[in-house]
Formats: sequence, C-alpha cells, structure tokens
Amino acid sequence: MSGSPDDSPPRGAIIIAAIAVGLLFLGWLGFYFLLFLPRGAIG
Amino acid sequence: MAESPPREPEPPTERTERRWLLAMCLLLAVMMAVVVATSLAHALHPPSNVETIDPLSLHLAGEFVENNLGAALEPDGSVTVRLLAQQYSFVPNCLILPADTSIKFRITSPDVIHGFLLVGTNVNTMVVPGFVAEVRTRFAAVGDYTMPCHEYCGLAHHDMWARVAVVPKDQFSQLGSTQRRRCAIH
Repeated sequence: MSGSPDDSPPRGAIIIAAIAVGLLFLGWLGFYFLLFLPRGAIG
Repeated sequence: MAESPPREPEPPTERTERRWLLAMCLLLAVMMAVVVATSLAHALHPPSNVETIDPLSLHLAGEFVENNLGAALEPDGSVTVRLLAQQYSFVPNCLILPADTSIKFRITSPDVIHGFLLVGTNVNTMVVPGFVAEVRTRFAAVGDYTMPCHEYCGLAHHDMWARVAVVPKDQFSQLGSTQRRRCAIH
C-alpha cells in the first residue's frame, strides 16, 4: 500500500535531474568520440 | 532483557538518494571504462621523450644552431622540424610543411618554460629549458595553422606565436632547403 503523498519520492526532480545528467553525458560522449579521438594521439 | 526499539522505516527520500548515488557511480564507471578502453585501443599516451640539452650552449653547437632550425626532409620522406621557443618568439616563426607526411617536431627552450600548440592538431606539449620536447603529427589538409605559446612565459607572452603553412606534398618537394625553413612563398 502506498504511503501518504509526503512519503512519495520527488519524481519530478528525479526526471529533471536524469534528463540534465543524460544530456551532459551525451555531450561528453560527443566531445570524446567526435573531437578528442579524431584529433589523434599526442606524442 | 529489554527489547530494542523497532527500527523506523527508511524515508523514501533517503532511498531515492541512495539509488541516485548508485546511478552516478555507474555513470562514472562507464566513462572511466570508455576512457581506459579507447586509450588502450588507440595507444594514447602523453609525450614521453626524455632528452636533455644544455640551454646555455644550444645556440653554439649541435642540432639547434640557427642554420639548422626549420624543416628538414629526411631520407625516408618524413620531415623533421627543429624549433626554438624563446621569449617572445618561435625560431623560425613561420614554417612550410607538406600535407599527408609524417612530421616530427623537436623543440627546446633556452630561457623559460613555453607551450607548443598547433591549433586543430594533436600537437600540444610543454617546452622546458634543458629538455628536448618531441611530438609527431601528420597534416591531413593544406592550409595555415597558428602556433601560439600556451604557457605564460612573461610580459609579452601574448605576442608569442608562429604560423605553419601546410602545402601539397609535391609543392614542398620542389622547394629548396632554404625555402623550407621560412615562409618565402607566402
């Protein structure tokens, strides 16, 4: 049985945070694979 | 014997925070795994040449005397570039190099620490007095590349930069050894 509304996790905050982190992660992947690796190894 | 008080149920927010922490740890683990895997697959590593030189006498004898600086064509078709980074210029401050050719930069400093960066390429290293920095690259496209010092070296650091003109391989091979050492054709 579900608890009172005050006991429920903050779903909206979780969704917003997950979207923000997901976008950041996609940006990191983009920079890493599309800019950093094609530049070639230093040395 | 007294009974221990019943444990209070865990608040939902704590459970949520623990799950979020776990998810972030997994995300960091994935990023670390990607970096390690690609580093091993592409053999990525920082410049590792360790070679010492006397900064006080490098202009008197050896490979960094003035008439030996610039681009030199090697017997195997590759190009070796010898440069000096000094307050507040690179010597020579303009280079002509061939595209699609293995190029080795050897650079040192007679005074303070400088930075050596070729914008848009993999060339990026520090130039430390007393050591010869060595980096390799291959220019895929012809064009002009800027080469700023990116390590603060003094009051006129912002004026310390050079230019690299990358020309087609055929054009480079037609240049005389003197022309390869400066940007006379531009």
